[in-house]
Amino acid sequence: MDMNQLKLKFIDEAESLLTSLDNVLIELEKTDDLQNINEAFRVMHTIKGASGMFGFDKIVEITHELESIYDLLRQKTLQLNPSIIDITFTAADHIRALLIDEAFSNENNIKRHKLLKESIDVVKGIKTPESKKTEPKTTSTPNEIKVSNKPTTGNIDKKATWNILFYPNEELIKRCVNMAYTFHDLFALGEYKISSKPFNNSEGEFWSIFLVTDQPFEEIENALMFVMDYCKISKVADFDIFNPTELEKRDEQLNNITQHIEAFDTTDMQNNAPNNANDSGKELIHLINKTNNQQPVQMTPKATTRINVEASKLDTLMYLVSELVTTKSELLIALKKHDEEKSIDAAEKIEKLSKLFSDNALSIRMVSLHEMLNKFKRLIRDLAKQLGKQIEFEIIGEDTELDKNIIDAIGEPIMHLIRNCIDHGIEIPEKRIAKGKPETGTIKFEAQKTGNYVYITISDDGNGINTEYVYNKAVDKGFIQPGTNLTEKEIMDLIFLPGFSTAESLSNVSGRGIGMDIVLKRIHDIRGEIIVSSTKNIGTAFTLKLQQTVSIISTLLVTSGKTTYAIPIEDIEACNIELDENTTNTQSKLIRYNNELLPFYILKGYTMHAEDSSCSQKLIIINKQSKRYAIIADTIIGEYQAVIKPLGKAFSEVKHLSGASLLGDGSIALLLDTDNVWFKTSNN
Amino acid sequence: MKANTYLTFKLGQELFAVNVDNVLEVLERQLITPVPDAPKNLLGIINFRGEILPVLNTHLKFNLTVEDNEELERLLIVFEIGQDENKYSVAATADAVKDVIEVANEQIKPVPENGISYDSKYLTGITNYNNQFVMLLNTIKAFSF
Repeated sequence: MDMNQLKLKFIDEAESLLTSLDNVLIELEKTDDLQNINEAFRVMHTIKGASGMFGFDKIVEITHELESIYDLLRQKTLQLNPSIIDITFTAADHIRALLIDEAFSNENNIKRHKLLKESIDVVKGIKTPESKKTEPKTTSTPNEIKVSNKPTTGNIDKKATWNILFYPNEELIKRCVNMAYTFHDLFALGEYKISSKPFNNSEGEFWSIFLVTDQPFEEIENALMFVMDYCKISKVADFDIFNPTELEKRDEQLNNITQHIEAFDTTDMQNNAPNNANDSGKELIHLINKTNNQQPVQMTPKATTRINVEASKLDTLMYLVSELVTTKSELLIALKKHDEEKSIDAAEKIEKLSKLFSDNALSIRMVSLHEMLNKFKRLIRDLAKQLGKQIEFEIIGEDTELDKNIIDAIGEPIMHLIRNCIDHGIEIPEKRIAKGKPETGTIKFEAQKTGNYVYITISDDGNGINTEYVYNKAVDKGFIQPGTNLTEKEIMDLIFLPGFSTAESLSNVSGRGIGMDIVLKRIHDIRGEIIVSSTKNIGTAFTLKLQQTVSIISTLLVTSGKTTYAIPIEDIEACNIELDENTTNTQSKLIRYNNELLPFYILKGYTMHAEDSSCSQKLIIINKQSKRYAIIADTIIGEYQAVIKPLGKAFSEVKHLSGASLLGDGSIALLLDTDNVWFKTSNN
Repeated sequence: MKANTYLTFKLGQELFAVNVDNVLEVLERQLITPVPDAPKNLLGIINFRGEILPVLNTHLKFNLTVEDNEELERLLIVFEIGQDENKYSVAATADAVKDVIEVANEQIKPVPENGISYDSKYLTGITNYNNQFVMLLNTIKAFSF
């Protein structure tokens, strides 16, 4: 059993829990709402339980402390105030840091841990100085047992103690069971104690959990529904074995189980004890430090490689698979019988299925903007606070779906655009009031699907782009000659030039790190476009035009010599125009098209033998982002849905090609990069 | 004694060897799609198991004179190079594939500084097999871009 894999999964889950915590906190900052306090408590409780299992003791410490604050909030003994929210935000970040610093060796983490605990004590001290004493102290040495102080409900007499032995294995990971939630359901049943390190016996590694609950066995079964196959549950006693008074009362019954408890309480003594693997009575003694001696595994944060998929899409996939299997047998039978008609039928059905398969595969790769936006919410809150601005983040269309690759690619550029809005766009409250605007600025994120495109607009109601300033700056930097006549739009496009930064002083919010030129490049890389519009003192809007998916695009296949090229259809204005001698203007190196003169590019092709060059050539007119030019090819084959494959870094210098696609006959078509071909046309 | 298994192949008059761990497949008469304006030592691209792979003109890269009957026996060896995320595949031309041999680490001699026509940085060493000199290729250096 690879514990590390399980641990990575836990870290993944913890991170998404923390993101949801961020959002709850942002809501709490606006209104003190009991439901959100409960939610915050729930997140803390879940993280506490799961991190205990993986030996993140410091996380247990912090979450435990926080949990007690939120418990006080729930009971209304403590009033929610901004400092509690700030502390919780810091704690969330602290937990994030601890998740990758398992050994607790980073000095900043150690310092922060101490500070955080102190500030939590202060918060708790305000209201309930005596409650601090009564609270069970959480211990931090790796081998000790954590005790939850979750208040248990119900009649104490009905309580029973259960022992759950949990044996995880690889299969469990494959089944993608959310462990944090599973155990959260279990821990919600009552008070629990859990071993902080997995034990070892002949059946493999396992965790031991003691649960004291008034709920029937069925409830435990329900909570563990998805992991029952990996659990051994036994009733230890009909009362709370961890309650000392109870213990005294039930002295006799206790005798049966003392061995078990001792195994836990005397861990330290067992460290040096010989390992009696065969002694069944001492099964639990195996928590011996063996696992402790292993080097802690250093984990580096990784980009998420998992994606959440709607179950209905998987159902479709299953349906398609079953259809394919039946159709395949139909085809085989028809072929054996030499039944041509049926073979053709089956082949056609397979063709249809393959189209459905590709649609399904693409839809599985589609991810909503939800997760990305969740991360932005926190960022905006922090930046606004840091800069003393008041900002409302408005989201429209967060359910819009995009290919996972595109979501990954746009995250950083959009983050940068939002930073710009906060830093340069939105004014500080006093200025806004002076301008007659509402005190709170608004940043709007709008996503909308139109045809094959997704439009994302990020806008603010702030300063707007100062075109005069941009113009002067461009002159200063030598990007344009003084006195050049430019339209407002052309001036705004200057901000995308490499090395152009309008921030008057470098702030640590924006103006450093990636510039607008990088934003533009990233968006171009995924075949997207950026349009900027701005009105002084009204605001600025950046609109991204993105393809929903990058892996399949509609293309026009053309040839030159023996080489086949694919040109994205959306970039083509017109095609199949005969090229005759009158259309070329050799002197100006331009081509005449509908009374216009356009630059051109002749597609290069390999010819094995000298071919008859007099055969008429074809013109294809490209219109990409108001750049218009003509491409000259030998023949036009037709439309093709191309699955695009990268050419790899061997061809990184071949700028006019952006990929390749396999054709039905096994040959390869080269995908033209219509942006870069422009630079190779006759007038450049 | 630590030994590794190598695949030997002929390029012009020379015998080269690569660690078999780096070899994915040997292809015959593969349809190569030339890429206009590509670097000179790239012959083009091929479709290998649904992926696009660059084809390296090994003769050109190693400065070897191409035999007259170039078209006759053009083989492609598909190499897999690097690890994990940096893993990539490349096809390279060869004239003939010879043997699979075991070479102990002790049998590998350093490359002489001069006397060979191509860049010695592409080699990890030289060994003697059946009274023939065999050049052991450093695949990462020889087939990186």
